[in-house]
Amino acid sequence: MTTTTPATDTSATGPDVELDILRYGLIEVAREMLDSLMRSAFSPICRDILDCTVVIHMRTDEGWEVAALWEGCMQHAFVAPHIANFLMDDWDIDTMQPGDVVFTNDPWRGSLHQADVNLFRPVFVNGRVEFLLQSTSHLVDLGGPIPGGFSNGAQSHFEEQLKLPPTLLYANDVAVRPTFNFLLENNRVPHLVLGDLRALHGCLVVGERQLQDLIARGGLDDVRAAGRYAIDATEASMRRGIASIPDGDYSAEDFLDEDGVTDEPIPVAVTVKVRGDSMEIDFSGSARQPLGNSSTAWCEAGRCIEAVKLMVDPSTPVNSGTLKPIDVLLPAGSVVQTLPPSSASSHADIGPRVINVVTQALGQATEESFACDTGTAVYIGFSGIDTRTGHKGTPWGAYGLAGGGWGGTWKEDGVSFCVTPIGNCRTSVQEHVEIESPLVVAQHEMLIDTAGAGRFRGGLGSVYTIMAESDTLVTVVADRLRRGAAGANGGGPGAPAVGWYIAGFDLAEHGDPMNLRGAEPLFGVFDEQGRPDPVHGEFGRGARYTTGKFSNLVIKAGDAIRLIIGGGGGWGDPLAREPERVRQDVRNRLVSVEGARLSYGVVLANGEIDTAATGARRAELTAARDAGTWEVPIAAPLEWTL
Amino acid sequence: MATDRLMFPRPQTARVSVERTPVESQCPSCGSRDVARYPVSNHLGPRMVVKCQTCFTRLSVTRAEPEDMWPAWRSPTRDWPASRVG
Ligand SMILES: [Zn+2]
Repeated sequence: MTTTTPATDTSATGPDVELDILRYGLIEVAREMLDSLMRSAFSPICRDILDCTVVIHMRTDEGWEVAALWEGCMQHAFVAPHIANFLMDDWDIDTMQPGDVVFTNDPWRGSLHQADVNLFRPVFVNGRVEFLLQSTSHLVDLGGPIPGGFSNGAQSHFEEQLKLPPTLLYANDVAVRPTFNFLLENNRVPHLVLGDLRALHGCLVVGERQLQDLIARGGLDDVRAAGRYAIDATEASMRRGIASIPDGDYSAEDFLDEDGVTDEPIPVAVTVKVRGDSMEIDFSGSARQPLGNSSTAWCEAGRCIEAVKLMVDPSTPVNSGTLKPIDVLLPAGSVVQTLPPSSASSHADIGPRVINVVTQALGQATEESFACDTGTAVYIGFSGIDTRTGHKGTPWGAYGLAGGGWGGTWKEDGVSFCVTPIGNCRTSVQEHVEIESPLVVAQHEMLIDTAGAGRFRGGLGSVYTIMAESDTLVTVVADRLRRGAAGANGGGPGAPAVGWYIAGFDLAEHGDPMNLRGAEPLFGVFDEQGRPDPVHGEFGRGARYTTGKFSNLVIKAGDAIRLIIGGGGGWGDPLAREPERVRQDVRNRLVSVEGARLSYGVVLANGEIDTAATGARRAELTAARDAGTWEVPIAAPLEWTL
Repeated sequence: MATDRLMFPRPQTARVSVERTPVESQCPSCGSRDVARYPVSNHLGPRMVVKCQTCFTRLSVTRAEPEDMWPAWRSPTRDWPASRVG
């Protein structure tokens, strides 16, 4: 099939208005699909957290290309193009009929992990499949030994959730009973999963209706041309952004703490090669696949491009054009392309790490760089059987995303209290959690002294405390436990993650997160008195776990879990931050007086800057840094009560 | 055999890399003789590229041959006739 490609440089001729209208028409179809999905989904992960996305794939001579999409969560947008092509490589298009829906959640076919399921529906025009609509969401449960999908400790995918290769879920809009039986009979919360599957199907029906309407109005040829126009325009913009980076090879290395099975750090290495308006992202030199579940099977091939998108072309709509200028090299059997039968369920730390390391590499090439985000979602999965009056015996599942900070940038402080860029998910709606689950969210708020120091500091991290009203099974996925998000251009690291268990939680007694009385360390770096101290403390001292990746922790009814997630790394020399900005941060309780003195060299007295003392302190720290006896400290809350 | 590419050992080395195989060729764009063939992921998925290493002009982009093992795993039924339900 031939589609004409209009000029993408519209500066001389002006945009093709017809195609531009149809291009936005495609995006509007996607927007309506996502609205339908989140309005009708049953589970909090889709409805509230928005760990979902919808996509319109267009048939081309080469394969399937994304013409438009609407995000709940950014990472799905970057991995969807490959899932569609893996699926259609596997599925005989000639057997497809209108109203069919094919399901897959296979990580080796591009899914982020088994918990993220993908539904595809062909859209026929004049008897030929022309488009493929996709809806995708995390499901609350899909069986396996560990509720919720992050199977910490598992060493093979046989020990993880159900993994379905492309499988017919609806035939001519009639539910395929064996597929539904399989999914629902092997599930801890079948009522939630059924509701979500129906919502994922329903939004495809809505999407097809709207898309057919658009085609009826615009004509197939023009709608396809508009899809091509959208892809070409995005590709051109992405290429302009890449071309603005000087040609060169830029290498960086970061690491995951460990895999929850052994205690070995897992290096993630990258070389980003820029040649004109093309790029390669090569993960050669990265660690082989770990024993635990901390690697991914394929998804980093698309997800790492988020870093480039954020840096060089943040404003155009994402579609296949975003991916076109870039080839990604994934070493087989590595932490970014684990081979079966490895476990592959814990994508939420390797994803941010891959983005962090690409960011660090590109940061060498441009002044307009930014420091690392928190680099871990500090994900918490909760589940159990409700014992509350009126809910007795109901199985339930809920999620928490602690939310960290984004890194400081060349021009401004990082965004605070925000999930890492892999996902830009929201956290749960606390009121919904408390109604639907036997949980009380005791606090979820920004925490002082968690942001990496810098001329432009990182965004702040947070503290998250949840009390259980019924016995609750918990999975935690946390990384960056020893050292927080790396700074850039002389900025300091953000605070590392810390966790505690609080028996007999009482808000009056335990409400102050800086008060450590009654808090049993779960993980982190602690000093001899039990204060978190990433600079002088010892990892795992007095703690129940020597990893942030564990499952099957039981919170007894009446007890609570408290987690700190660090903020983003700082950008630039904190000794060059305007003292007035430091004073404002202290006034807003984002930085303590002591933190201002230790990390920024700003001395405050009664809320005002002591200019002379600040000058002396900054000179002292500068000299110490030159002598190699001082470096910008890892961010850490300082004012603990024992 | 249908089931020959479903399970793989963990690599022996602590770190792993993608190998770029030099190809006797010349770049049509810049004239460089530094040309290599290797597995990548492009906007569609896994492909083999023959590419100028100087300017990244793609001399060819193709599906992998079986011996390329790219990706290593594959569907055991990939060349079977499809039924109505897959
Ligand atoms: Zn060349």
